Amino acid sequence: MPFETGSAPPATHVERYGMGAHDLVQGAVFEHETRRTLLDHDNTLVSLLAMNTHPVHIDYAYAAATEFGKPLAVSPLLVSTLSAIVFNDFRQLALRSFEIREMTFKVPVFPNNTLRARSEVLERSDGFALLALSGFKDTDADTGSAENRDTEFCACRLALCFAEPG
Amino acid sequence: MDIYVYPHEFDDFAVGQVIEHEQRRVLTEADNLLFSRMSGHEHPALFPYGSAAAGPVPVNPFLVLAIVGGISVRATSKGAIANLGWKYVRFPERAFVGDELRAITEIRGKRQSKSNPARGIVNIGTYGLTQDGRVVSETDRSFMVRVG
Repeated sequence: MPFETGSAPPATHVERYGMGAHDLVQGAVFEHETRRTLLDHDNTLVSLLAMNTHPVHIDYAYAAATEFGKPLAVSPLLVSTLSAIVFNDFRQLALRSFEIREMTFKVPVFPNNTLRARSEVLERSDGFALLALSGFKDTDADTGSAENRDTEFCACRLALCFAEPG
Repeated sequence: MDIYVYPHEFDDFAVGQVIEHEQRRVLTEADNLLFSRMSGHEHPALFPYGSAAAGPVPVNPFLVLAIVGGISVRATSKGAIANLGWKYVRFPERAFVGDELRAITEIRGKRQSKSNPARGIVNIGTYGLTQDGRVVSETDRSFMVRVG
């Protein structure tokens, strides 16, 4: 007897992940759920993909002799990963453009750190929001501690221009 | 035009110099896919995954940031101790798959660290441009270098 194939049941629900413009309320704080562990492989791959020649990312013998004693995560990968964590949570936002302002790195990030993000809506007007964005990393991978202690490694402002829902 | 002399430490950076970087890079579908997936991007404005729409494929702006930054490293921060941050990161226009990126950097400022005179901070502005002169990224970045 042949398998019954070739037909799917009609959908009863549609999936809609993430928040939209309505959720961007002044003062709202978002602890973004997704976390991400950056691996040595990620770091080397993105450094090379981006044609970044700084040895501290791709030459581990060089990195061992620096004041950090080990390779540093490459900044564009940090910014991209952190932004993805935030933007994914606003997947229903009809984003038109965005800008990163005043991004400062406070402590170094190393491969094997786990990243997470927090954002807060500082300003909100028609089709515009200004978020304060903080990136945190666990320190377990650095210290060997069993505690899951978060350290803020970077902070910035994220300005968003978007279409308000009609 | 003068040939640029690569800087090794604080004194080598000359404020006011504007460098046309030698390396260029054609953005491919594979670049966009790999980088976007590795960073985890799902927002359709940044990475229009699953879209069967015809026409030019917009490239993830964070890939533009990474490549334009990467192209500029050899002439700027290759000897740097650490990247300190960006005053701004802007994407005036979108880049598309097939575009060729080039980069221009202006050395904007430098100062010695107040807390540690053996360290200096260099400030640069880097622009990413396409083959037809569209500005697809504008950044203002600071990094820490050795003095002497």
